[in-house]
Amino acid sequence: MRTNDLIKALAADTATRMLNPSRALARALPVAFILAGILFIIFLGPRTDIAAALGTWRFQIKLAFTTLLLFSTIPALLELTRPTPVRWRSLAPLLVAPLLLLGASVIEMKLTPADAWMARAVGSNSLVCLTIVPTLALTPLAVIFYALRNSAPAAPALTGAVAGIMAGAISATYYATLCTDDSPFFVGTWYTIAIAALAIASAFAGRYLLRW
Amino acid sequence: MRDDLAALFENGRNGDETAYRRALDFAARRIRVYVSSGFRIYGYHNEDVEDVVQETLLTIHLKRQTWDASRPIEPWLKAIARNKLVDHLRRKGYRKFVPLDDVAEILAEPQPGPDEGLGAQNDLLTHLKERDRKIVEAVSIEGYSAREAGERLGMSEGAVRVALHRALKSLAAIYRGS
Repeated sequence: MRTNDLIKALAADTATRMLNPSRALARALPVAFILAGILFIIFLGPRTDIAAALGTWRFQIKLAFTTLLLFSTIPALLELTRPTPVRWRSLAPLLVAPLLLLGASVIEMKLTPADAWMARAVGSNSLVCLTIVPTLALTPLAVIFYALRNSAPAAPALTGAVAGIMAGAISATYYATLCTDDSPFFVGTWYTIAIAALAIASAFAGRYLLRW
Repeated sequence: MRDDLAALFENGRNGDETAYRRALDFAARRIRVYVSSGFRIYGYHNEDVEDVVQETLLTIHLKRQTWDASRPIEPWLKAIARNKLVDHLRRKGYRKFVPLDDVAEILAEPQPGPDEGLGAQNDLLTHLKERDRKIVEAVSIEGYSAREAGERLGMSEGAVRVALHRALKSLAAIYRGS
């Protein structure tokens, strides 16, 4: 086929509308969040003392961490949908949530005696956390990957990783209302491991699924 | 001309077929220069240039929404062309590493490309399903509109458009696998 003819065929196809990546993501994110929420309510549900927990600073920091992490992935993922070289500045917001947790950990160090740190970090739900966070993230992850199908990421693996963090943050936000370990030490250890594992797995998936 | 291309492309992707055709025409010329300098850097003959140009155009079309109209269009075109060039060379088993920034630098040099529309080496249309191939040929080589193509093939205009879109997607997939 001659190039001119190909161009004619492409022009005949402009009537078929395609969502741009930001709109696709704007539609997918609420769907991902609600689907994960439905699964959470059906299979798990929040802890019984949730009302009391909401008033404690550790619980609030925990929720703020997962929520901030979720929101910080939005500009990062949008930037990553493009084929042009990644502007690293747009990934900077991803540092906000970890920094918050770091700050909270310093406060926790001041408030608790050193010999209690280990117990707080290990907590009593670490395996539950490592199981539920990645598992509950699978549904939102699939929705997010689907929304990325029309994108052309310059770095597919990195894009996959950020999609994994996004799905992990959604999942962790729900899980945080179930988990009774509220210490920043616990969150910093186990939530981080769970979300990082998800990010790594999603990076591998991204390398294959997000290539174009 | 730079602004022209951006404006034409923006109007084109919003549904103005004539503008879109002109935009792709402009873009094809740029891409041809870019791709042939890339081939030269890698020490390849120019014989596959038009294949890569076509694959790039197809990708530009299928990924047209990833260009942010508030940013310049040229880097976006180049990024896609570079990706397709590297893919092509990788498929051909070429592994020598050349810093890709050099490819961009050589771009500035004017150089003759093959005449427009010389045609690609491998005709990928033959890999399409019979009906899809007929639809693509009708709206391209034979120059019919989607409606006319539908009348000829006994399909509705909408069905032609859906089938055309799917056929272009499979063309891109065939390229990736070839």
